[in-house]
Amino acid sequence: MNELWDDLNGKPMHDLNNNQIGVVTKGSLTEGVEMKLNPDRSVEDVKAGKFVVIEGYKNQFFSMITDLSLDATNPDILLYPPQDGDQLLHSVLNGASTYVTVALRPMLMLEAGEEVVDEPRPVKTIPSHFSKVVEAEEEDVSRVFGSEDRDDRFFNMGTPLDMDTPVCLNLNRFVERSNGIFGKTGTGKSFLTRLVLCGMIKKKKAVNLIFDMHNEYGFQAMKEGSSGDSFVKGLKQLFGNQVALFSLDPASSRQRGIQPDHEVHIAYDQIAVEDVVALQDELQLNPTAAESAYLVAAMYKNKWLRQLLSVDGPGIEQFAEELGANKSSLSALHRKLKRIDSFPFMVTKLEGADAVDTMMDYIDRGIHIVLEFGRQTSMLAYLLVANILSRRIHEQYIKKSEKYYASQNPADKPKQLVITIEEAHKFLNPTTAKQTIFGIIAREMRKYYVSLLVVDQRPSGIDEEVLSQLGTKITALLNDEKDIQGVLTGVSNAAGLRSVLASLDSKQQALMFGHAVPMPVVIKTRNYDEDFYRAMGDLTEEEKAEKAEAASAALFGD
Amino acid sequence: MLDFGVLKKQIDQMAVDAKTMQDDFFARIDLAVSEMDRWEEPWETLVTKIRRSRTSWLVANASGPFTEVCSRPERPAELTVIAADGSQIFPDRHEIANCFLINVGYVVLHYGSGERPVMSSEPSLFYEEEDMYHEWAGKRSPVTREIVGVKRNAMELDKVVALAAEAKEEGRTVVGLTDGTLILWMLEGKPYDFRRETLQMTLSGLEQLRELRVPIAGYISDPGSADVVNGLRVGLCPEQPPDCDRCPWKAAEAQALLNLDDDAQKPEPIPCEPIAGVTDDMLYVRKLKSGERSGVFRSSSKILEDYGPHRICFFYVHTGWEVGRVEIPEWVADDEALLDLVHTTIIDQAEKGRGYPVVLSESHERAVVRGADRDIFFKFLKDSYVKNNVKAENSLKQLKKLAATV
Amino acid sequence: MALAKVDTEAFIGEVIESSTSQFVAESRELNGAPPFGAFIKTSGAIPVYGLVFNVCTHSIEPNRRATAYGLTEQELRNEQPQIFELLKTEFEAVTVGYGDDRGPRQVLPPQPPGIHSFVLPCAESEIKALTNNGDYLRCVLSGNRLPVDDLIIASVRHAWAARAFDMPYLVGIGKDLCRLIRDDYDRLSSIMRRISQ
Repeated sequence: MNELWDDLNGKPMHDLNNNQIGVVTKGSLTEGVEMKLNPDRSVEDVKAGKFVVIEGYKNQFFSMITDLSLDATNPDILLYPPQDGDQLLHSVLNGASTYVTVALRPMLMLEAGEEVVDEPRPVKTIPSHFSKVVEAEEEDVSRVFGSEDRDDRFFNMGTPLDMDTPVCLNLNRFVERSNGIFGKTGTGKSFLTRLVLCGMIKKKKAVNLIFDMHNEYGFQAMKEGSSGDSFVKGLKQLFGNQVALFSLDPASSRQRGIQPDHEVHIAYDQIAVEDVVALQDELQLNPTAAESAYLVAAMYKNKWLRQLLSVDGPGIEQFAEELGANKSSLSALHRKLKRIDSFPFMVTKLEGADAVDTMMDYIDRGIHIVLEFGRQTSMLAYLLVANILSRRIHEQYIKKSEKYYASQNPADKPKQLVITIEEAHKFLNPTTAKQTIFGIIAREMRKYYVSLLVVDQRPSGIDEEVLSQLGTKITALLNDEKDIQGVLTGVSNAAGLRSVLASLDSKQQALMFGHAVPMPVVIKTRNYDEDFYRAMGDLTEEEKAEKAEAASAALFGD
Repeated sequence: MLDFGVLKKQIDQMAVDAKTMQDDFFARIDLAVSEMDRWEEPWETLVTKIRRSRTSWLVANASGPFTEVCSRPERPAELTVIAADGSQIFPDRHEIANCFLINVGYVVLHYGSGERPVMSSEPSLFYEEEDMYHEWAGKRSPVTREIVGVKRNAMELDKVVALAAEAKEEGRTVVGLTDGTLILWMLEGKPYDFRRETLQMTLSGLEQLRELRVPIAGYISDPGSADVVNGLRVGLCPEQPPDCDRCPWKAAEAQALLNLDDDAQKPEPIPCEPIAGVTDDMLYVRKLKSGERSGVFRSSSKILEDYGPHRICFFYVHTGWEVGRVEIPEWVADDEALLDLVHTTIIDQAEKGRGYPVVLSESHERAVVRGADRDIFFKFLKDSYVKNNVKAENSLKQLKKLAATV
Repeated sequence: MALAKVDTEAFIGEVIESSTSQFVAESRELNGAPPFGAFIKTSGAIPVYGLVFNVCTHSIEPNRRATAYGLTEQELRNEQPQIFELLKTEFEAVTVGYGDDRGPRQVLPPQPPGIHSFVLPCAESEIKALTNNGDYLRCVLSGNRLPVDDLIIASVRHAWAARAFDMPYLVGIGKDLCRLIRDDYDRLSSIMRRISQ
């Protein structure tokens, strides 16, 4: 008898519309729409984040499932649930007295036949009562998210849940603003980042400068989630000459079998007070210590750090007196900055070209830069280097931009630069964000053709203003309520997305929303595998050999 | 308001008197019983005395001892019992048309075979001139209730005959029963031609039954008759032969009433008086056990002189509930097999009907025309007249006269 | 009686009382009424469909009552044959629809069934048409003096049997019923349990 029932719950009884999952029963523009799940659907097959279409009278509402709830019309049923074996009663109640309410968030509204243009129309109404809710079909997805075949601004990021059609990121829009990639540790942030970077490189939408703290982007990296020694290809491998590898720790790079294109050294004179101020949190400097630094800089200009660090022990007190600075705070500053001395990339005087100039040269040629930190994985080193380089490159960009604004000559137009930083909350926390170069870049938008790609696991640590300026956010699973709130800062109707965000799988799933997608969408991210390499233009060994043969044949003739 | 003090005395006296009366009555019954026993042996003497007597009452004529008792014979396993009963709507001058209705209910019960019984009724409406007016002894008169009754009896008997013929055709053992007497008492004092006509109808029916050899019996419940007791009274009479018209005791009594002298000698009591008032069923309830019948007596009714071979005899039977009287034609009484069949059928029927033969009560149920039915009948009549545009207030006869002038 | 004229037809009774929402029929045979909850139809130009909700056998005459005899039925048939003629079986039905050229419709008929029209059992296809959803239960629920729950149970079992005890059908009817009895969960569970027993 029971086998008979197994087929009954959650299977179509009357063969209505296989595609239909429910009807709209309730809704408001601010709270979203509620749908009663068809009794023939099992609630367990409907997942938060699923992409569905509400067939309104005039419009299609592309929506996301944000919440599910079990309801009963009569509280008695809940007080005296059907007995375990009473499948009949169970089936009878299912869908009638006990039912599933699904909360939907209409994200995008399209009239029949309307195509998504760059700026999607906001949802201004709600579907009428009993509008059908259907599972999105392949063509719906491409209609909303575009397709790589149609236009090169689209970049395939993955597929909606339970579907096979690619969801694309509009890269033109993506690079217009600073963007964020979030997710708690182990959820594939760097994988997502690699994906986005590949997209920008492949489609030549911007030049990238990547501060690769953990050496994950340049060459090869450990494959996500694999236990063995499985590696995935880095950007350099995929894009060859289009990517330049810079290293702060060439010894480390070489150990890993990589020949960096450039070594990076930083001279003491290149460190400005702002760079130190940006390290306030990391160095636990108090405000008076920062003031002291400014005093030193006022006296010694760009030699201030070298000067400060050259003073030793008892000399500090005297040095403070000379400057008129607070002795204890200056000595604290001195003590803490002393750590910089230990960084091998610090040099008193640069030999050869300044790293920033080299970088600018590459950038001008449209070559992407990955800066590996090698074993210099201390946060302090990372912050310091990223700050110094970014600040200086930004200065260059300001000049270039101003020149372009003055000449209005397209040849002078600076190339769009995207700076990727990890552990972004260190740069962009509320106390430092106002002063550091990254805070400035994030806030000034694309005025000077520089934007950020911030990668972080703790978005709550990032200044709210910066968060709200991020154009597009791609986020993997987040658990911490504050982090979720942080990511959703500046998003209207965040409530629905919150539950979606918390219910993502910990692997290969992400929520994308913001400027570069017409509507928020949960995706199963694209596999980073041979197919992907091929799509990025990389060739297998045999193909390379074949190609080389063909090339030589062409060269020498048969 | 009742003065119970005074009333109580009167009630007590009434009870005492009733007791005295009852005791007196029991004494009479006792006497009757002992009289009966007294004549057991020299029964021929009594029978002869009765035959010679001229009484003012009906006296049973026996052809055996008065004390004769027959036990219940066995009933055939398969038996068909037929009965018909009628009821009527009498002509009513206050109603819209002059007519009457007779409804004959009839029942055929097949015992022992599990067959379905026939239980039905047949109404007949009478309105024609010859039904409504009769001329007897040169006198034309409208139909009376009595005539309707006669007509009804005849129809009942006809129905029994028809059903019996049918059942006999099918090879069944058949008994016919009717409710009440087979003796046409009301013929007494009627014009000759009326008597002849009526008798004709009854006797032809009985004759057909005789030819079919289907016994017919009339069952009288709670009979008030005293034919047998009257026979015993003849036995008590010292006169030879007894002649009530010349009863010396009665004459003396009449004389005494005329004699206004107070201290005149009281007349002797009439010798047959001590058992007067006792009825036959009182007597037989002492003599018969359940299922038994008395001997067969001949009724001394004058009317029966015209019955020929169908002269009516009777016996008493103890059904277990009461002593009833069963009347049968002579040809049944003389045929032992038919007599036994009637006897056992009556007992069996009374048992099935819990005191009253079931076939009779069922045929009565079929026949009965209740007040409501009567109202509906007249309503139909009226509606039909209206529909056919007959002036309802005119009698049918008047209409006929009017029609004739056209 | 006139019954003999149409005995080619398998009629089971004859309408003796009729109204728009209910009708009474006398059974052709004593104790031969259709079962409680059965679907029946009347003969005539407009067949009326009904659901048997009461069967009674009683004395033909209102003032006569049956009494106990202490005999077996065979003994009674042999020795008291008249009693079977004095009893009749009647059944009452609540109207659940009527038929027109498109087949059974779940609407009360324009005219009640004619007195003396014959009563026949419904064919399986008619039962299916009448019970393709729970609408017919409305007639039951809104009817006067009906043993509502038991009638629902019996009629649904007939409808279910007409569909070879198809479970999804029963579930569908159960859902309709649930709505009709306004979510009276206790009642629903009792009814469904008894239907499926």
